[in-house]
Amino acid sequence: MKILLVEDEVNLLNTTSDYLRKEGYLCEEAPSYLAAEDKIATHQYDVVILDLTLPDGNGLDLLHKLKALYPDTGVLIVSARNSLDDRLTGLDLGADDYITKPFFLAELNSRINAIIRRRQFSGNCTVQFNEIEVLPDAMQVKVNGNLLELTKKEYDLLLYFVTNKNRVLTREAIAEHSWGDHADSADNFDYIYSHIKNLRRKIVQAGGTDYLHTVYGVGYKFSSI
Amino acid sequence: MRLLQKATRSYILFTSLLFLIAGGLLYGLLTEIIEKEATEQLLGNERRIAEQLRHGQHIINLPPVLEVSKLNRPIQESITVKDTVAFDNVENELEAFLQVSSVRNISGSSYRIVLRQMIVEPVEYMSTIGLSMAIVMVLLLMFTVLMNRIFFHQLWSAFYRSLATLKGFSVHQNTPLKLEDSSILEFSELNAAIGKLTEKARSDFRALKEFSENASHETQTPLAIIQARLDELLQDPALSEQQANHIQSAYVAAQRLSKLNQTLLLLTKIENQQFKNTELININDLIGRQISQLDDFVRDKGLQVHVNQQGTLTVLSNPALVDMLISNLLSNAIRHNVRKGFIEVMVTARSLTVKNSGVPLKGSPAKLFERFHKANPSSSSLGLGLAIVRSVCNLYGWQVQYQAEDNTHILLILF
Repeated sequence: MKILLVEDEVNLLNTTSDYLRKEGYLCEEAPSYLAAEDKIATHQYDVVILDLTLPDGNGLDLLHKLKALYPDTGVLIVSARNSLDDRLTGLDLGADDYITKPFFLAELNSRINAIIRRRQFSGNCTVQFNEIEVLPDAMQVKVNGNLLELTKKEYDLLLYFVTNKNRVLTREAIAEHSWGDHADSADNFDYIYSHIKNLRRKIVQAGGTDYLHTVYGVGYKFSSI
Repeated sequence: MRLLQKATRSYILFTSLLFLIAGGLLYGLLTEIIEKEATEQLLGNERRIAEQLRHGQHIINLPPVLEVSKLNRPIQESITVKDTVAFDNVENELEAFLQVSSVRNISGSSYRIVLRQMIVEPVEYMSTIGLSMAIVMVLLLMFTVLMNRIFFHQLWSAFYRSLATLKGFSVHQNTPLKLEDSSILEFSELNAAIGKLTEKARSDFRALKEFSENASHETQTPLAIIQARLDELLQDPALSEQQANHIQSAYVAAQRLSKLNQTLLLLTKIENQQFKNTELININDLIGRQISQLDDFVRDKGLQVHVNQQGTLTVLSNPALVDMLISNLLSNAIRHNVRKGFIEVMVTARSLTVKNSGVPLKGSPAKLFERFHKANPSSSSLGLGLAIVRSVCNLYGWQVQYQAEDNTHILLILF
């Protein structure tokens, strides 16, 4: 999968691209509007991650040009503004999704994955982790071929864990992924534990292995070791 | 009071005063001149009669206007002028007269000559002058009002057009305020001044907006870097538990800072009225949706939630803001609740009430809606939830009230 990362803040650009490469993507960097313009003129990408505020141009113009050249390229808008207008304009121009700064890297990965699934396989793909199989289109999960009865939240959490496997996921990142802005409604993260407890129980009952490891005081890690 | 009314009122006041002074002056001058003329005429007539007597002609008495009598014995010649009252046998009533009475020694005998001329009484003068003044004044006023009606609107039309344009001005607009040119110097100067002022307001607002956006961008980017780097650090399997906890707390602090920044920007945006897009929103549906999204938090605290829909509440407003308003109210009711407590939401056609159990409020209820006010200082909340609620309500002119009943908190919004 080929990804173009457009971000003017070099430090953030490096962190993000390092992470994406580790996740197995082919990631190219564009630190400015002009650099990004050159890249999209010469290469086709599967997904472009686009920061809207660039010092030498407007990200929305770039989106316009990109969509004219390659309508099939997925676009994820990154915006520091909590400006609704820019996001809506971006989505109108054909962007697939948006994420606001600062974001969790795992969240970025989940969003990219969702875009790729939608664009490349029209949702008809499965995400496999050993005996666990997630079918995003049908929102179903199979363990050793047996269908698992999961609630929407449990399914969401499992897909998030599988997509970000072998990575320590903080409770904050998990809460924000599954509950969004409502994550602030509670003083603690107890509500996450009960969902995770149920998810673990259901996987184990279906004969699967509990790959979810608690990282004490921090969060969870989904891995086979 | 409208300008025309005010001008007309002052005009009437000053004109009346002027007419009063003019009337007084006219009365004084007129009576003096008339009396002088009448005296001269009577004195002339007296001389003519004396001349006739000297020529031995007989004078016919015409009382009370003319009375000539021969005196029994001669006395000193004299002449007096005075105002008097005499009986007029023609009119059959007492009348005011100007009287010249003299004694003349002609051909050895003395004659008394009395000449009288009817004079106009002061009251009659005054009423006549007053009446004519009043008629002239009424005519003048009618004319003035009519002229004002006709010319006022023509003269001030440019002003009223500018006023209407100015009323529609908003600092958010993208184009400068366009005021029509006026041929009247004062109005064109006013328009120029208004034009300058609104342009300044617009550019200041733009600068402020750009500053807020830049500040947000400049703050969020380093925060994103901090968060991403800390996230990477957490991935190191060689971390000790203590190190992981240190990183975690720095990570939580960075996230809190970023939320704070975003919320303050949001408040600024609401106050700057930057949420322009409005839709008709059904609050009943919205509450239903939000409560189901908050289900996890409700169950976690073991709360009883009851929604009482007494009417359908529909408001015309920005969907994102109303969403935030309801979400903040409900989150608040969950956050500040006690275990196994209750939340009662009541919707009527005009109001929304959120009642929840909790611990009694410690501070002053008036401070509840202020920024950074926290019921519990050690809580992880930012203390901005109700500030947002108030901002949104202020924006749309809704009333928000807080009441406390023992351990129950009640927030009421009147739409």
